[in-house]
Amino acid sequence: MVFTSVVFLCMFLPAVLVVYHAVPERFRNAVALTASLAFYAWGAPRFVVVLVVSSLVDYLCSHALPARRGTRSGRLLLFAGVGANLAVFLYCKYMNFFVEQANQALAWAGAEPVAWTAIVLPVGISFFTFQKLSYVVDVYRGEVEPAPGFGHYLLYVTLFPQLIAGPIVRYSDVSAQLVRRQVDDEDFLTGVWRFGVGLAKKVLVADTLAVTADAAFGATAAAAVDPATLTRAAAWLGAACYALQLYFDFSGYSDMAIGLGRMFGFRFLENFDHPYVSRSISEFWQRWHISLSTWMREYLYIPLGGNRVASWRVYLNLWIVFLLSGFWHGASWNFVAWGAFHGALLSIERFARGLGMRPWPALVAIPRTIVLVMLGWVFFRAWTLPQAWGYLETMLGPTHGGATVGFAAIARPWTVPMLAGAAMLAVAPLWTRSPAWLGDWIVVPGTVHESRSLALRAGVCTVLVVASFVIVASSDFSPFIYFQF
Amino acid sequence: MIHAPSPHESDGPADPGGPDAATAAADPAARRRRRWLRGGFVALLILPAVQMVLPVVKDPKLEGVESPLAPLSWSVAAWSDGSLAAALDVRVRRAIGFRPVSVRLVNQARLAWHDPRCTLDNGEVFIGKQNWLFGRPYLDPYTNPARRLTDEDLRGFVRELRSLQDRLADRGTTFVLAISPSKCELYPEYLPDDVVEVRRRNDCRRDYDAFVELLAEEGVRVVDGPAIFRRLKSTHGEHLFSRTGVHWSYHGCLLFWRELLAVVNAASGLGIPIPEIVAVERDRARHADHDLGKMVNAFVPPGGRPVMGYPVVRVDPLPPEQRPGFLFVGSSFCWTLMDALYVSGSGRDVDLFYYNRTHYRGPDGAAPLEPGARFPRHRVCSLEAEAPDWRRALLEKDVVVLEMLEFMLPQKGWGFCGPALGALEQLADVPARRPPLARIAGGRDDASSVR
Repeated sequence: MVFTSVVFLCMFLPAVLVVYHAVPERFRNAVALTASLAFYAWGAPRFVVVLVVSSLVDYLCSHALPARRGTRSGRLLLFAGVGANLAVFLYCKYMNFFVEQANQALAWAGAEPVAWTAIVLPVGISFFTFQKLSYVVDVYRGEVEPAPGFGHYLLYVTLFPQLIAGPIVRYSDVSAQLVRRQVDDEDFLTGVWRFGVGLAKKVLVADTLAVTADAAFGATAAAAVDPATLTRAAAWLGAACYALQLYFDFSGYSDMAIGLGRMFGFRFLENFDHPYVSRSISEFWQRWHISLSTWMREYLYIPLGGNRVASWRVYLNLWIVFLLSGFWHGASWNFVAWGAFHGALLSIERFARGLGMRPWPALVAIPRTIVLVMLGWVFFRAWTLPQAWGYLETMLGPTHGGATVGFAAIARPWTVPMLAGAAMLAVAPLWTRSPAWLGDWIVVPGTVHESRSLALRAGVCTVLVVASFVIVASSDFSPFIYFQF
Repeated sequence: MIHAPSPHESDGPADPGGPDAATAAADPAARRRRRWLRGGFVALLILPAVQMVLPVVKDPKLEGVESPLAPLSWSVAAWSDGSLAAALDVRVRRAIGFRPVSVRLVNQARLAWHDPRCTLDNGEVFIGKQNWLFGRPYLDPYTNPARRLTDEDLRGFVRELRSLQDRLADRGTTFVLAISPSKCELYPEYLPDDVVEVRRRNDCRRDYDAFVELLAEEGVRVVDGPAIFRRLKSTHGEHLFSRTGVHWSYHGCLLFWRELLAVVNAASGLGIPIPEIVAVERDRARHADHDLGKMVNAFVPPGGRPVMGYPVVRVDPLPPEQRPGFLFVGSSFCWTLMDALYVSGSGRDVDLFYYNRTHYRGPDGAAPLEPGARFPRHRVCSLEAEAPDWRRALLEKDVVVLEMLEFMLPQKGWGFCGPALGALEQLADVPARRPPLARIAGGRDDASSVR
């Protein structure tokens, strides 16, 4: 189930909210757990078993770990816990890719390909695997106590607001809330506001920009656009639309997750912080998908030695982290290339800093970062590596005569205004001291204007939710005038 | 002015918690307001589902037909592989309350951008110049008119038609082939220039051109709508297609019907009165003249509802017992053709094999209708599921009209001819049963056609 489906918005969410808040506090975890399992089982019931069984393994492992901390058996147990999660993750997410690569190599060598039935990827496996890994490692490190009960742990893993697309929540951040939490009206309304904003970001902005991005790259792999047919303006427009689509899509989803969590009494950490105002790639990664960057730093970069090793090792570590980060995003060479690109940029930045080069002024540094990130997104969005190279060539290479698809051909009438509006929102900190000015302006609790601002906030939120519903409900209306065609 | 972002800033709106919130929470009125808003949010979410189950407010239905959904499979396998959930998702989205108003809102917003390309991209309506609407299925054959059938194929089909015409004539039934015109072919001046340019580049001899030559060669009785409409377009004051309709206008249809009746009368000796147009009444486009306008599914279609000229006819209807029986086989153009039949007061025992897939029947001896009014009909059965009652369809009819769109020739008469010929052979010993009709002096002319 996705947050933008009619079933979720109009049935699942209101029903769960009503039941959750109607039952006594001691039953709320049970309601939340049941709802989360139902949420996951709706679209992918067969994977629920995998999720529950692997969580049970983590739970048992975590309870055996504290007594063996620092011992060989403890390390073996940690290895087993981490290994079990990674095995499921690697098998489900990458086996198709590895077999495909192996078959290509075999075909090249003239050998018979390996017979293989493609595995269906369990939804959200990238996110919940990282959560489960962080739990096992944190328990081993002694940074957190094992979950008091399997139900608590299963709720942590499956909690539906963040199950499918993050943010990646560490157990230590919510362990207390899993045992006891309260939701007052203010929490609830803040969650509603946040959810409404996230829904609008996804449905009204991201999905609208996606139309132009799809026209530039191709909506499906089979319909991938040959970049040689695009003019340079069209290619840049497509890349810009995709850069903002991705940001509003992902940050919108995170907003919805954070808002939903708040409605149920959970406080998740922020996942985005206006990444397109970053002055460097390293700052970008402090602002983009913060929960993943944090995870990578805590569980990969620092264990590899972090900054406390020789310079060449630091560069290598950065590369490894970003290569793996790219591969985490998807089993394809495009993501590997994207990770390598960011790893290279970070290494270059670090090298330049090491040489004592002064940072560029914001007026130059921010556009430079945006352009570099946009170029990276081409790898992320393109269907194949050759398409990505071709696209970059169109964006940056010499003009060629074969281009037939121009700016006007891929732009819809609303594209430019929407792009401009989205860009203004994305870089809000550049033109307002308080990027959350809308929220500040609308809600000033406890003041004489409190009732007015509350009504205003409710009004804006209603408009956003209703407008999003209108788009979602009308999305696949494609009738025939008469039935025979 | 560029401000440096502060480290605590995030994408989320400001957290309204804090000491002020505590003050507000202590205020009973503020608390009450918050309670109401909490409930209001849940109510807002659940409202479409309530509207779906118990329609609280009127939510006018959308125009057009959506593709049918496969029956739900309530099996463990379907549940396990997610196909049941996916199917339920689609069903709920289609049925959810306020969907019609949502679709209309979105379409209206799209129309406001004045870009035909972006309007209803998934739908069937194509917006041309001066808000002329075209059915999208008609656009592709217009821009790509290349031959789909070989001369041999066409000749075989034409011979089949001739054979049917002869076999029916043996049983006292008059057969007429009616070719209905395409709006794109007749009014290309209202299509966007780039579309016309594509046609210009692809222009060639079409199936239709070869077909009408072969029909003449083989002596098949035909009312050639494209040729008639091309002729009428330059001489007749009224639009032969409505700006917001996919079919010929009522006016155009009546003109075609008059031509068809003339052919039928000449061929059969039946004295079916030909309606005379005595005046033209101006009115907003009615029913089929506005079907594309309605298909836009907006509150206000592009350009609004056009004013059309509706013919006021004078006709001396035949006494009910002398009215001929008609079988129509064809596309949605037949609906208005049958309306014209009822307007001219000549309808008895009227059947329609719609695309030769669904059997509809009109009421016997209905009183003449107002121009633009809808011919009353009811669905009898699916012809894909049930064999037609050939005795009624062929032996109890005086006239069989096979209607074909000029660009749908590859459909070869919707597959009617072969089964009809087979049925006639099987019913060779069954006498035709129809009331004796008045026949005009002058006998029959087997080869009459209008082009």
